[in-house]
Amino acid sequence: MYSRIIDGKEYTFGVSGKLIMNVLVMYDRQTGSLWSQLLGEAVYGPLSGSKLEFLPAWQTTWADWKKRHPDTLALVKGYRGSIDPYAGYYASNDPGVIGETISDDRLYVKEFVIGVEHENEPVAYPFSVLNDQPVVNDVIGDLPILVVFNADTGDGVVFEREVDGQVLDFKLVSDFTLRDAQTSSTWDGRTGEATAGPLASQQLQRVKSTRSFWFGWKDFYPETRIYGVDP
Amino acid sequence: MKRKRNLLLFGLAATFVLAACTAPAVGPIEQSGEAESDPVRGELAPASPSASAVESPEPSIPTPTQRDFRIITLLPRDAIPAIDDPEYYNTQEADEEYDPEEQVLGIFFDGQARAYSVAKLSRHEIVNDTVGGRAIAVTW
Repeated sequence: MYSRIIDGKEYTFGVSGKLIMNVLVMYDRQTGSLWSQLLGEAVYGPLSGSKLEFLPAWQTTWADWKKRHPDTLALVKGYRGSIDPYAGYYASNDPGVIGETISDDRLYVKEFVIGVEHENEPVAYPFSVLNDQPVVNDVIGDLPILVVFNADTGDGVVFEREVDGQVLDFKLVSDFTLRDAQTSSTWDGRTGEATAGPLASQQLQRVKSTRSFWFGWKDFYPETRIYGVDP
Repeated sequence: MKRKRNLLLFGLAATFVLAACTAPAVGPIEQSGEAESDPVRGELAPASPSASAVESPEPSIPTPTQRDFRIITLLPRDAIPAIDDPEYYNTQEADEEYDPEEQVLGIFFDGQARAYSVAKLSRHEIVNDTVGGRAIAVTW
């Protein structure tokens, strides 16, 4: 999800009908520039090169979200049921509409990954690895990060794990509660907030992450490392 | 956190949208005749000059250091309508239409929480909204 404010001006976005390597290309109605949804960047037009500010979101079930936010509003659907027009596609082996740009079979083409890119260093965290290791302490370049995965909903969130100059190592305690080894503070793994201990009420910074199919991620980031798979 | 196999098959790729799937007139593999090729090469890594004495006559097959930012046109603009004036339910109203296990995208700013049905988002791909004073684009 992105902010619609760029350089202090507000923009609205539409669906351009175009794709770049199978990913949505948006256009802004104010200048007609084309934006790659995955990159969060304008790739064509007057605003080419401009970047969108990433805003954190969570993907989970309706029941889970309601529990966490009992006052939430929900988008009007206009129909019952959750038939996703793409359900058949998700279950298929098809790598998108256009097909793959490059071939990389380190992972099955339609496997889900949580993708993170920091300073030109991309890393994919496959669901298959995260299922067994739902809390990952990793480093991408100079950035120590934490991945917290929910196997029930497929929700994965990524945070920076440096707080006030101190790098923390996290372990899963129960459900979504984490504890850091350095101060033994407990943390809510979904919001990144410390709930008890010396660091109580500290907030971990959210890092931009993308949940996507393997084939799509590696087309955008062919040199990607794969956590838990690459040696 | 127990594992649900179903989700891995029928789960959702947060940033993947395939424009063709929802337009009845266009099949999933059809590409518009006016496909533009505007190659915008990603400058990911400097191309290393080949030392080979033999020139390869082949057209470029993307190497791992090249990314193909060709813009492929599949549908006309706005064939998939973004939502510009989203309307919302409270939780009781939403329960009439949302299944408990239904995938949603959730956001939370300045004390305001909103949920967006992923299945609904698939049909529109973009919601332009303002939440908690923030102008946002919810994209799928």
